Amino acid sequence: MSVIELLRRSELFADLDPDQIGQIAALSQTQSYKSGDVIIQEGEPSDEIYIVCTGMVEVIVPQVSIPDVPGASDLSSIVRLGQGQVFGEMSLVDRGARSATVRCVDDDTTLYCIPREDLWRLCDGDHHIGYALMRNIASDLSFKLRHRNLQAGLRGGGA
Amino acid sequence: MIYKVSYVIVGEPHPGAIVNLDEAPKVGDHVQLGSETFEVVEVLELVPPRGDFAFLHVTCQPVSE
Repeated sequence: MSVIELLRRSELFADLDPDQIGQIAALSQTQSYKSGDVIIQEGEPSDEIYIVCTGMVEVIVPQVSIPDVPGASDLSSIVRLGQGQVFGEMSLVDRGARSATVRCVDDDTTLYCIPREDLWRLCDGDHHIGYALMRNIASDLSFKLRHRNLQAGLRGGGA
Repeated sequence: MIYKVSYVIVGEPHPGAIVNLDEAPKVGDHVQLGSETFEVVEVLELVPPRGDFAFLHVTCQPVSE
């Protein structure tokens, strides 16, 4: 699948016309991973967003702090993301450090990576792109929160 | 239409998954999430559709051998 076709099928880029999607596609780079590879690490600086083209990744967060062991914690996988899904988008909004670790769980996983600053420049130069992207990020984060609430409800810990 | 699907899994500890599909899942379908295969037991609209996207909540269980 071409990067333009993938972006067209990702909710993050909904309501953009082919020329605008082409501008975003021109910023992207392809990266390949194997099962077990760590793509981003919680706490590290964040400079890119990622879109899953093929394969699957999982999002991992610390679950429980372990007393008397500074920095130690149990890790919990909170969701797996497949084709068309985006991660690293929080850094586009708040420029903070990575909030979770993302690890590849499928061999032959291909991602498209877009540098944050390049995407910001595009948003600043074309406010329709900026508006659509911010609205779509809000929708995507809401969907992820709904998923997490449903999954937590099944485990008896609903938010 | 592109179907953005939130899969949640019952019957085993699994974080579930979010995936885009070309066709809506149906009850009884088998779905592969990574290396594991599950059976669809319920399909609901999670939020109303917007543009080319529909948003579904799908409950799955492990496939019985």
